[in-house]
Amino acid sequence: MSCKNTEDCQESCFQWDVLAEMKSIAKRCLAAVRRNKKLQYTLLLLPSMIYLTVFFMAPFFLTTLYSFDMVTRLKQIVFTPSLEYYLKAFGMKGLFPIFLRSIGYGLATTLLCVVLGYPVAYYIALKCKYKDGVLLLFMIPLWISFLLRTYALKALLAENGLLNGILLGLGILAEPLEIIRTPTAVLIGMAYNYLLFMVLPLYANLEKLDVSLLEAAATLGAGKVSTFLRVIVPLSLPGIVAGSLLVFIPATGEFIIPDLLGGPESYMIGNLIWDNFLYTRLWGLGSAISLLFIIFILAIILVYLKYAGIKEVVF
Amino acid sequence: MKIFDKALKSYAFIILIVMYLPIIAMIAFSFNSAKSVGRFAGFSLRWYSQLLQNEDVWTAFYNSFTSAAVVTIISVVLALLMANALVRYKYRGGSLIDTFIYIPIVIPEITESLALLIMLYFIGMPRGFWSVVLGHATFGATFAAVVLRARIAGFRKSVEEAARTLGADEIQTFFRVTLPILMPGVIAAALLAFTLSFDDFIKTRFTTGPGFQTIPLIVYSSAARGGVSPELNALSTFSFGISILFSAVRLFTLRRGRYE
Amino acid sequence: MMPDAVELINVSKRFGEVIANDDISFTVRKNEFFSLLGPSGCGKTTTLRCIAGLEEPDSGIIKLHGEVVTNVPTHKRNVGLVFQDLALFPNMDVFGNIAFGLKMKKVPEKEIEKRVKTMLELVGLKGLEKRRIHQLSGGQRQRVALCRSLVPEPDVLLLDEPLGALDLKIRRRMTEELRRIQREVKKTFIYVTHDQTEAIVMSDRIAVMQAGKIKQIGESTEIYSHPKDPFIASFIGEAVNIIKGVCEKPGTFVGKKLDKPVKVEAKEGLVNIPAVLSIRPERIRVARKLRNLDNILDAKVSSVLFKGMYHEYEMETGDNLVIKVFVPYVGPGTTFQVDDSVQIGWNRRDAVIISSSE
Repeated sequence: MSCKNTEDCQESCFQWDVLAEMKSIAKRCLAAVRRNKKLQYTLLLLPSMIYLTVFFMAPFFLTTLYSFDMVTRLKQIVFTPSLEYYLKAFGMKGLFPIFLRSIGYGLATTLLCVVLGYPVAYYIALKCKYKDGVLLLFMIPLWISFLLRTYALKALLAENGLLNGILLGLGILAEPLEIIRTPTAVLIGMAYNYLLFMVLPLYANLEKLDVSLLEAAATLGAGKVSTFLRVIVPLSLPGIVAGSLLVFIPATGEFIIPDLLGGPESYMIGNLIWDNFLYTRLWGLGSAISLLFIIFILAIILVYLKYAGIKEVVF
Repeated sequence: MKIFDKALKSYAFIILIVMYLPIIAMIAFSFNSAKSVGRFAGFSLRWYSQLLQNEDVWTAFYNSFTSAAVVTIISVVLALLMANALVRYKYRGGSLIDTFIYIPIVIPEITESLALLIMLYFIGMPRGFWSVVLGHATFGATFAAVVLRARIAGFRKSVEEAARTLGADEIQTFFRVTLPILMPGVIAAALLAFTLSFDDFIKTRFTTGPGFQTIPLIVYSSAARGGVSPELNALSTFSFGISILFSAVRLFTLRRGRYE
Repeated sequence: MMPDAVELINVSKRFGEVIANDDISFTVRKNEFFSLLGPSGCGKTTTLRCIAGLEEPDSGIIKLHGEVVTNVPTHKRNVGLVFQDLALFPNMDVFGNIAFGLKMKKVPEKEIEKRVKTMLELVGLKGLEKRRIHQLSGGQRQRVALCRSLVPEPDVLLLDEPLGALDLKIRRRMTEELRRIQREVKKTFIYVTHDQTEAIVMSDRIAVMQAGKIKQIGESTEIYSHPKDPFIASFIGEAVNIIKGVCEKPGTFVGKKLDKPVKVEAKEGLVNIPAVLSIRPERIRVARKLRNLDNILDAKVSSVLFKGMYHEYEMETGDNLVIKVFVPYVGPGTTFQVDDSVQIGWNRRDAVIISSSE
């Protein structure tokens, strides 16, 4: 460290001291972190927790505030909660029917998926020789996004689509079937998209089934049907519950399927929120509706879980 | 009970065919020479060449790809940190944090998107590339963390301790030992995050700004406006070709990783 | 004076409710093969990890070569550790694994190659540099783990039950190998095990641990013939006879179940307190009639077990007291049968009196 005069020296000495001081502070911090395992992992967890808080918790928190009209137009938070928007929501003609309709579609979809999907899961888990391969075949459609699959279905079922093309071409029908823009189309679309969300958890569950239990039932005199109803079904209940939740929650809040495949009779919560939110700035009302929806869903899930007697759902 | 088993097998395969039918039809008709999805007139690549000449489509593809790439990086980094911390150390509020992390996966996407929109508006963030990316990264990180957790749980801590006794400090240990061993899981998580972001529609629609288009957005607006057409088929086929490609690579990586 | 290789002073460590190390102090001399021996859960692995720096003691001081290292992080301590599960790096080949420590020390490439090759030869794995870890056998992996830890020339090598996963015969062979390697590289080895045969064969000195404390430190022969408490007596060695009683006066032991008092080596301080007489089965003589021994008792053979090198007899004497005796097998016609009446006997110095807590 060469200096030309004393002022230079003092300057660089000062800088040197500050640097050395910072280095030693850093060293001490590092040692402290090294020693304390808990501190290490907390630091490790911090970035993602911060991120999730900012981009997940905060938005929902804000939504709640907006729904209680606690945010002014100037983006200031005021502590004057009001139920104005909730009342407006309740007063909205057709809100409750839309809610019920969404739940209805959700339940119907879940039921359809259980009925249609159970045999598939059963087959792959218990009766299939090439489990991995067949499972893979079933999973590939899942790799395609909802939007594209729904569009493909629409292309198939449309008035000028393939189904009608074949039916008309073969002379089976004189006029094209109008499937699109009906509740039927929506149900078909829901079942089509969500079937695998039911099959996969069910498969996972059935796969772990202890075959010796079935054999034990047989030695105790149970026929095939009895064994199925009394042994297999109860044991696959966790899978059914997991699948139901994986289907019901998103299906109830579905937007794309009723929008692309359905008509005014299948207008659901998803559509309501979409229309009210994207094209208007009615943050307050939209938030209220959104929160009501979440609470509604949570309530139904809790009731369902209690009824099914399961406290934790393990994914 | 052979009849029953046969019936079951047939049923399963019927379902499989039904699953694939719309998709196959869509691919098939993207090569239709006529402008119809109901009547196949002949093989033609006209819709694909039309796509290739469409500047908007190229821009959208570029946007989808770059945003997905950035989302992937953010998601993987966050997920690595998160999964590492969660698996190695038993926090007192352990199960609470677990639930917290799984919520983004379970909540209906539309409510989440709406909340994000409010937040973006509140903090005055301009809507475009970054608003989309940051929104996607939330669930990208969560999904990636789920994938990584399984991988890390089977990871033996003693290998890291061995590196430390051989003179490697924490950073060297991570880059020379931990990361290479976890690499198959990291790649799988990255591909998952990429695919989810690339294909995403609802969140994107809520958080995007004027002028920022992605492929799913174009698909939707075309479908909503004009209904079905072979051009749209072509675009869709192209889009999910990419999804399938990435997912296949992901599968392959995971399979291979198991032998190590 | 040369500083000791390792010194622990009043080291304690607890995990929640469990006290793993309870005020442990000992020293390990340079170039010594030192073993920490004890049953599962006694805290020996924790002690080893504290020396390596992978655990931090709640209290106490750890010194390496005279320097206090309690606050020094692991990667700066220059100790080698061979893990129980070996912990070989699956993403590197044999060469990569062994060279790792040298790479961390920034040793030039050419020298790394030389040293790795020498080490491989030393352990008999010449030519296997390019093999992947999963292609190696158990014994080979063992030796790679050993090489990896030795090549960076640590001051001390720590080994945490490294032979546990091996077959019996290979384990026996590796035990002797390890001893040979230690002598050749002239390094301090600290070996943790629950297998007392291993410890006795390999070590210069053994520290017996139980429930977090060090019970006795000494040379193998010392611990074997003069265990300090009944636990150590039964833990070490294949078998031992423990006879409860009390020393009424120095030199005489009255066993609870013995017919008559026996002569023992006189020791002050062991009189009139609960004690046990500890004698190894191979130190007891058997014959139809015995002469010229300090202690001779009448007994009846209650069980006979042939074990190849010797017969294991169980003799009943006194008040239904069972005594185990080992007699080398020297040929047919020299064995006793069940219900034979015999005499068993030993000299004073063949037995040890240990104070017991019961």
